[in-house]
Amino acid sequence: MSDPAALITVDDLRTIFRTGEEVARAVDGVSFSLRAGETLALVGESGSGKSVTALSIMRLLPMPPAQIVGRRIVFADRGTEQDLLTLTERQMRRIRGRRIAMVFQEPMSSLNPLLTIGEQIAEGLRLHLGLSRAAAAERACELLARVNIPDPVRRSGEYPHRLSGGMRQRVMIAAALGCNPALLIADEPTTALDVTIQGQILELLRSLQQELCMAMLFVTHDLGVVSEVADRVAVMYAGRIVETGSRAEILSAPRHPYTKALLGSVPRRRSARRDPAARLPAIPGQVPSAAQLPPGCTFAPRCGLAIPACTAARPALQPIAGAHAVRCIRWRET
Amino acid sequence: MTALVDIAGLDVAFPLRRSLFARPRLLRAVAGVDLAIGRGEVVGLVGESGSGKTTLARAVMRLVAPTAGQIRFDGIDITHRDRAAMRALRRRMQMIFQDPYSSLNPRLRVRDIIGEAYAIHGIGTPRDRRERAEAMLARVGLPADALDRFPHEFSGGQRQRIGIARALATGAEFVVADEPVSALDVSVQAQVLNLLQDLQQSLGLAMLFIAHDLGVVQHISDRIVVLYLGRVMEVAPSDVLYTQPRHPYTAALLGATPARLRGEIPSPLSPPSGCVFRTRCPYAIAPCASVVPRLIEVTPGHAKACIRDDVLRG
Repeated sequence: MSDPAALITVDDLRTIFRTGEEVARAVDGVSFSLRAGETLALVGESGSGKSVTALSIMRLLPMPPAQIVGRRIVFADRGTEQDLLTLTERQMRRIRGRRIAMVFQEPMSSLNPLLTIGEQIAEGLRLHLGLSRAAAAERACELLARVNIPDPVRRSGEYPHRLSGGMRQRVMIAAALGCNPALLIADEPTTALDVTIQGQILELLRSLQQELCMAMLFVTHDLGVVSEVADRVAVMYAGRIVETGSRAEILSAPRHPYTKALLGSVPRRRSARRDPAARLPAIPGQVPSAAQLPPGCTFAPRCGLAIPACTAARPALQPIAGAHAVRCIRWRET
Repeated sequence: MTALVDIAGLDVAFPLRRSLFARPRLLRAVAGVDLAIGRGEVVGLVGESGSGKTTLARAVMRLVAPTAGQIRFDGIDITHRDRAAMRALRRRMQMIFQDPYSSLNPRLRVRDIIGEAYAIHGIGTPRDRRERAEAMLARVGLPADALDRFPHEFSGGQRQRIGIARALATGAEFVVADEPVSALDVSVQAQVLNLLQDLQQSLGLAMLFIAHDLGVVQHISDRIVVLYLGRVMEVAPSDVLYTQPRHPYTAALLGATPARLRGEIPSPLSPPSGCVFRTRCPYAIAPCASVVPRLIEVTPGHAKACIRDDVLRG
């Protein structure tokens, strides 16, 4: 199901971690593609492999213990196709930060406390675009203005500790967008922020994405955020994509028992009168360890619909309609 | 009905000294809060980071000293009680923390984590403390063999269950839960919320429940208090607050206003004059800068601190 118009095609990605005798299959056969201007949300709980997928694309995992054993990540940028997994570190460095940029969850630990924010943004511009010191400083101020930091010239001379969490995340976004990347990977960029600030940052990311026609891979655990940013959604569980489809398909008509349960277990703001006896439909048990994945469907041990056939073989991703596909042999009955 | 917890005009301020010789500036984290929590009642506390939620909760527990006002627990004035005098009351008021990874002693077995609570308060004999601990574990949905294990052997959700067992072991009547499910995954969060609800109802617990997730707060609370820069902006029964917010800040938090909230929460060292929310309020008018709005009841049980009676009328 390779898409010729895709900017990036992740094909059967397998990332393992070796520790002693143990092999943890953190990403276990993940495939998806993403076009320019499109946002794909990779949704999952801790341990689902969503962040490892993002870091595998960036080739930022420490190897060892990590090892990418399959298969290809094709990046079709500016008319040339490259498999990111076969590039040398030197070649990768020309793509990382320049064509594929990343924004992390914790802006404080991603910023250097000893450099002013202007210097940190300028550093990337000088390195990747070869700008002079003066030109880079000027461009840094423009970028700060673009991410709506008030008084950017004065702010560019300040150190990260002087900024609030929301402002720091704006700085990170400015730094990531400095080279007009084709793909932005955002790993839980709003998780550490207050709801009010979260909304502001999502709005900023969306408008910048449209303006720059960037593809965005948005990694999150928060289904509320998904509804605000995603065009398409891929739900991950225990290293695999269990369901994928448009935002509306996943949020309004989910077919995988895990997606359904996950959506059901979120307490929603209701307009109806509160019923004190109401309980949330919880998913029993917990996410399996990547070192001991259950056989067959990895969700089967927690699934109310599981039958013996579920644990016999690993279910394939089955198409439902259009781009909506689900990895469940009983999806017709859900 | 007298309230179990009664807070009146509570102020908590921290002196910040820039240098040895400078006069300390006061950071007013909680400013003039009135709040009563009835027996068996769950009160939710919401607001952005820096709104004073945690400081208020810690002051109620007397983990920080109030600078003004009064806190009464079951009729007893605990505003200025010293640590020793507080200890006797602690078995009746307990706290559940956000991070189940850092709030349990990693060197103690679960048996001792829970047993410690009995020992400190002199409950039972060393012999029947084990039985009590086992019963407590069963109550929070953990197997008896969990007693002999260490915290690191449990998942986040199970650890939070241990934290709950410890808090409830001594028969508390009032529990402060500070973001008890925020660190948990969505699927586990629902399990722990259900457990808290079951225990709250079967034990008739009064609870002050702090969370930044408004869905979670509505789900569990009878009443909700909205805090901004240490001041109460609005109080209402849970479903009323969500359907008919009357304060612009509440409406913004709920995403009920079309415009996104501008800017960020100001520094508590220099709060705006008049209404502290006015600098971000879409409805602010000139008098908002000079008049400090009082918390006024709009319907029974529903109060707001805003002088604009002509907006957000539902």
